[in-house]
Amino acid sequence: MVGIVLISISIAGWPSSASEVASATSAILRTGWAAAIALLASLAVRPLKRWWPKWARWRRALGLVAFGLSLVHIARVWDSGWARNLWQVLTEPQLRSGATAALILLMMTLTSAPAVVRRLRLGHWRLLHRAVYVAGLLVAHHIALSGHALPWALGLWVAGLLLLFLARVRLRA
Amino acid sequence: MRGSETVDPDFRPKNRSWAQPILIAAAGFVWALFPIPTMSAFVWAYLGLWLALALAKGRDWAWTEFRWPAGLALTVIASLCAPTALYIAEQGSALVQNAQLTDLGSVLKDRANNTGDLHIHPPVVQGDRPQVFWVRSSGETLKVRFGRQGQLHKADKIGNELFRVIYEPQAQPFEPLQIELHFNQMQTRVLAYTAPRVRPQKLRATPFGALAVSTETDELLVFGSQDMKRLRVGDGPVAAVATATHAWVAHRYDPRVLRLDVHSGVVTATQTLRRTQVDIAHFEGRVAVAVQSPPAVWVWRGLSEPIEIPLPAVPQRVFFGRNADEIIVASRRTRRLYRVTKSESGWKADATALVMGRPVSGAALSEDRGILEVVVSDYRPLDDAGPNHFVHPRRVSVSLESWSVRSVRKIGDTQDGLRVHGSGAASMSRSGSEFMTAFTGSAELHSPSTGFVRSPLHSPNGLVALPGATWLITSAVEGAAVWFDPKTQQVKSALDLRLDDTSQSQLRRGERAFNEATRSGTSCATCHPGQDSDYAWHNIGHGLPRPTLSVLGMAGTAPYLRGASYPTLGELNHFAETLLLGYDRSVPNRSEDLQAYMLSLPPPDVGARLDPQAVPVLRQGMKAFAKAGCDQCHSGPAFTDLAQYPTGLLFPQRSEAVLLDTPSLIGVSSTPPYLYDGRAADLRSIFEVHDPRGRHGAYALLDSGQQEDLLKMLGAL
Repeated sequence: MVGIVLISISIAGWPSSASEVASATSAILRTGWAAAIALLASLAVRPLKRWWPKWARWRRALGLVAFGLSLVHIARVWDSGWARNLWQVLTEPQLRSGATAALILLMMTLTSAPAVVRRLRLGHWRLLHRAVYVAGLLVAHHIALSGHALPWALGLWVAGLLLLFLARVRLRA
Repeated sequence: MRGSETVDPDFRPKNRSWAQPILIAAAGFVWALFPIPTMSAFVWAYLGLWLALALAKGRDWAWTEFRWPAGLALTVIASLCAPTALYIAEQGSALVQNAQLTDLGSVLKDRANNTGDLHIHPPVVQGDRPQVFWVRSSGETLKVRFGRQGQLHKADKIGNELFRVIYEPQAQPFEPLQIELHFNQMQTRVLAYTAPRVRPQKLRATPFGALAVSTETDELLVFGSQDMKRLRVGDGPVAAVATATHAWVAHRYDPRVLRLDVHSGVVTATQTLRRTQVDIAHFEGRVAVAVQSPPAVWVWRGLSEPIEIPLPAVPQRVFFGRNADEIIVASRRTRRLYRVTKSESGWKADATALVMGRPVSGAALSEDRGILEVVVSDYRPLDDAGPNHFVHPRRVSVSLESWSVRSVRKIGDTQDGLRVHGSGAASMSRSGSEFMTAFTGSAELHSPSTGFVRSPLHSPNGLVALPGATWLITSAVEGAAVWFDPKTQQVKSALDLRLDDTSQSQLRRGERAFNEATRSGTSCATCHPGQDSDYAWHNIGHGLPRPTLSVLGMAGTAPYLRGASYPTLGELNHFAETLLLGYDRSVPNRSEDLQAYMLSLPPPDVGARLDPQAVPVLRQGMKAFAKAGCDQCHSGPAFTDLAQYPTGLLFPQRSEAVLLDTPSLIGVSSTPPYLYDGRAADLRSIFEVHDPRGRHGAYALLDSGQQEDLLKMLGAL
């Protein structure tokens, strides 16, 4: 957890430009992309488990990293004036999608503690955690509308998400 | 997951199905798309209930065990989801629009282009004028060939992976419809090409009939009582005046002013001034030419050496006043009239300018030359922004004797059965004691003796009286002229100047849509005269009035408007259809036509951009540009990252919470005022007055020399 915090702070606070606006924007982009990639990595664990069984232990950690980074991302967004009030979060599609995805990740995080998992039982836990794919779609929407995403990077991320979803469905079948 | 290792891995809940996650997913997604707070509350109440019940009941729990809460939850879900589902079914497109998914592809495409290597901007070529192109290339050298048969030209490396190329259509002929650019790595880029169109403009009465110019086809159009002659002149004629035998022609791209014999077309004299001439006037042997950059009026008599008189504002129109020693200049940029008079000490501009509040659309002098009649889309002597976007056409009488506004008259709403929609653009002329006006937006003609008459041409932009009770009417949009009998309202003769114009027909339809007045009286051209800006402030839904943006050079810069709320230009038609109350005339593809027309418009002409001496200025400035971090947001060949930033980030002291689109810096020197609310009157004040905390680039990190380099570079973009 300490590592997560340190990584998050270092990514968020790394100055990147002489321009304050560019620096703040860059920090927001870095934390956002880091969270998105961590989310994708956590989803990749299940399909890759077949070949690399030891990867399974990283799934929870990667999910927590994704949530931690998303919190830092949100903090930077709020701090830089991108979002100023809850109404703006509700009414601007880009912020709305991002906030919804973050809330889903929050739900994943709350239910990832071993005691909660035991209490929920695996089946219930799985049902709840499938919402992570919805979070993925919302993140894609959030990135596309952000106005800062490189189109090829967005395409790559969406392709990765779809691939992992298909792999998940196939594994289940 | 360690926690799951202690339980039976084969366990499955009794109600195992995809229904719940799908429901959760659908509800969450719908909420994400709709700004409905109740949906948010529902989603999270549902998830919370589910989690609480699962934790309370533990192993073997299933929804079916909780008949009452489950039934209640299902009822709530059904009651909330049913209307939502119905709404979604009915408003599918609105749903997509609400999520800003409409035409997202065009936005991503422009962004992909702008960030790619070997990208060229702007992506359009106007075949009639010299243009500057910016190319992003990581290489050290770059050569460009315009068309397959053209010669390779070395591009100027400016720095920051950017090269500059000047395209001169007269020196570098092109192939029709599209143009290809070959790079040293033999890559090709295809740009949209717009062929020159015949567009008669600036129609003026002369002793032998009338004159007009066609800027794009480099022609002087000489009209007689029933015929017309086309004479080839210099590059980009902007206006012409004539005596009984000769005509003086001013040009936009040719620095010369030509004197021609109107019968033979032979050039009999030239005066070399500067590029970017905008208008010409003639009286009692004296000629005055208004030049945009630097702002000045050049005057001479006969063939004497021209005198340059600096002006306090960029001129748009020029007239002689009561005599040849008095010149009146109208400026669109400041929406004012200026007077320049000659005294024993030389030419001098009056200290007092007359505020019109809106750009002058048309003007004409009275018979005794004591009164200047002016048509403006509204008269606002306090130069205020006004409460909204709507305008009220006025005719303003200016007394040249007292240099004051003598009267302001409203141009009628309903008269003779015709509704005057507003000027949009207007042309004014005089026949004897009568002033005649052509209203481009509503296609109406007016004189006191005839009242309002429907124009036989769409979007008339010129009207003069010829001998024999005949009106000559021109339309740039239609590329046509007609001789018209105002009494019988019959066309005596018509002239279609278009030749093979089939490839241009959509652009002509789009230009007509751009000029056509809506039911509110306003057209696109009202606030964007000359496809540029009226340099005024309007409230088009921001809540606060904002300076009008130029329409020029928008291709390749999606999304549009200050808040980036329009992913395509065609969607701007929505603005005309709603806020401006729509059009009387139903046109099936108005949005597409309007979009094609606006995308064909190149960036604004700035004299300094075409100056070969600008290269060292640009190179020096680019270093300062990068050092100050300007290139972080104003990046790429379009000098914009096509992204948005919140007001809170740039202007923390402002309370508005809106996103601002990064504007392109190409032609920025011609588009004051600056910043989203127009608070900065010039480029320097952006940094030195309105950015004390250095949020708009690290200007303070630059030494004074670098700051000057930066400002000079911005002036030459």
